Amino acid sequence: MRRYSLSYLMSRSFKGFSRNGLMSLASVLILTSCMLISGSFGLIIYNLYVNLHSLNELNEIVCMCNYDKLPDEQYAELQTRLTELPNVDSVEFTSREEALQLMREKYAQHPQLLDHFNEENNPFFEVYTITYSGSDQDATNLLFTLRNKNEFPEFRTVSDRIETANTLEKLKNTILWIFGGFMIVLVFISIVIIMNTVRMAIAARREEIEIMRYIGATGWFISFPFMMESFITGLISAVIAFGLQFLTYDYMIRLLTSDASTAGIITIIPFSQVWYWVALGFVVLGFITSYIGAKISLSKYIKV
Amino acid sequence: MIEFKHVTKTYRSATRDTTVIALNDVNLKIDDGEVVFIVGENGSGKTTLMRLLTRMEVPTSGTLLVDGVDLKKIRKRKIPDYRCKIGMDFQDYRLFPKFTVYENVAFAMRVLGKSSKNIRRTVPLVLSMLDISARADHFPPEISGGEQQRTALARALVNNPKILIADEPTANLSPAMSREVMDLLVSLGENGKRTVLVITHDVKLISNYAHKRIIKLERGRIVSDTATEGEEG
Repeated sequence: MRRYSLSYLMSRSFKGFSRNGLMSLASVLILTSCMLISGSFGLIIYNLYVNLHSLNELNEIVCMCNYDKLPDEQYAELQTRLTELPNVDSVEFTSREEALQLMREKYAQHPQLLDHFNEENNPFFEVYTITYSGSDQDATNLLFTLRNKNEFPEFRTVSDRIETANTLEKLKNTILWIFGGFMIVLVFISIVIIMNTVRMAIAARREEIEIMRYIGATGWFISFPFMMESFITGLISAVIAFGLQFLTYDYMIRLLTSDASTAGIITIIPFSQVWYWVALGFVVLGFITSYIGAKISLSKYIKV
Repeated sequence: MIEFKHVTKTYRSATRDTTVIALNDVNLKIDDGEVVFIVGENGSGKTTLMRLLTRMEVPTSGTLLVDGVDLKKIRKRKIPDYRCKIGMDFQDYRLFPKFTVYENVAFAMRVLGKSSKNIRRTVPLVLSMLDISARADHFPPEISGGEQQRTALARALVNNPKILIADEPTANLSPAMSREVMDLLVSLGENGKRTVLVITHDVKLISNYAHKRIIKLERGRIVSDTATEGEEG
């Protein structure tokens, strides 16, 4: 049984990596790009999922009244009719004045947005927010009833979160498909680049390998440094990609939370809650691509 | 014991789309501890013979046995272990220019997974045996051709191989140095514990070793073998 010195083999691997210079750098750059794109897509999808989930959790239907104001007792009567509908749990009425006030509170940091609105030119409508329970079919039936102009001519629009959720679900699936396609192409490119790097490293050390074979080196001893070089490439790429991912994600969060139109609407997962998944994903991606790339080249170009 | 039984080796020439016969129906027996010179012109099949013995190639037909093991049938994972029995000394030395003499020799032991302690103990002994201890810390480009050849020999011998194959060991050396290296090779097989095969085209040089077995190859065939000539005579 041959017992190889791991430190000796590792030192050969690091020497090989640095000796390969430009090609190693190219591999790192390509692999880093691949990871960064994958990570960004992954984070977008995860954020969409979280937002979608919170939307699905709110079994709410929002009914907006016509712009022409009705007498107060008619609004009260309408609320009673809505409460009596099947599967309705609660009905909350918000007057246009309350709506304006709520928006002013929400955008307190940007008062200039709503400053010029008053009672005369209030852009909001009376709104009923209905929460319901029951199956999807019950929700659809309820929606159908509310949208029936004969039954509820007072409503201008009836919107539910289900439709928004469905739209976002479609968006998520589209992104998932694009992401999948990108991933396949990028992983393929990464594998080819690593294959080529290993092939060139083997070519540069052809004589050394030949001598090792004559001396009686096992395939494992010959291949190990090349495999390790690939893993080093994968690991360095993972570290760089992780750093860049943190910076870009952090920048995106700051951008979205500072924008008044999106603040409060979108839930953004802080990086501190997902960093370990991102790190794990990058390391696994680096490991898999470097392993496959190196394995193909080694089995093709190194004979025992 | 090394035994070639009707061994033929052909190569397919990709450029000319023809078959080149490198060895043609070779029959040969070499006993343990023999010192044998294999001579022939370029293209006579000497290097193919060496590559077959080191299991870098397999015969196209026929059987090649080393200590009873058929090299054509040997398992792939057993090949490295088989090669440990053989020490190779190359015409162009094939030393690593960025390794010192010591590191070049130690490398052969590292390849076989020998411990650092063992390496530290064995390498100086081998260097001393080949009289190159003084050059241990020098890099190959800093030493003479003869010293490089000795370093290559030290690397071939450091794992104490049963068979030593020297492929054109004097090709790049002066006549005086050639004689010195050839004497050294012959002496390495003198005790009968190691088989030494010296492959060369320098017929003049080996005339000094007429008492040893000399096999002559021509166009892939054995045309003379002093051992069998003796038997026939």
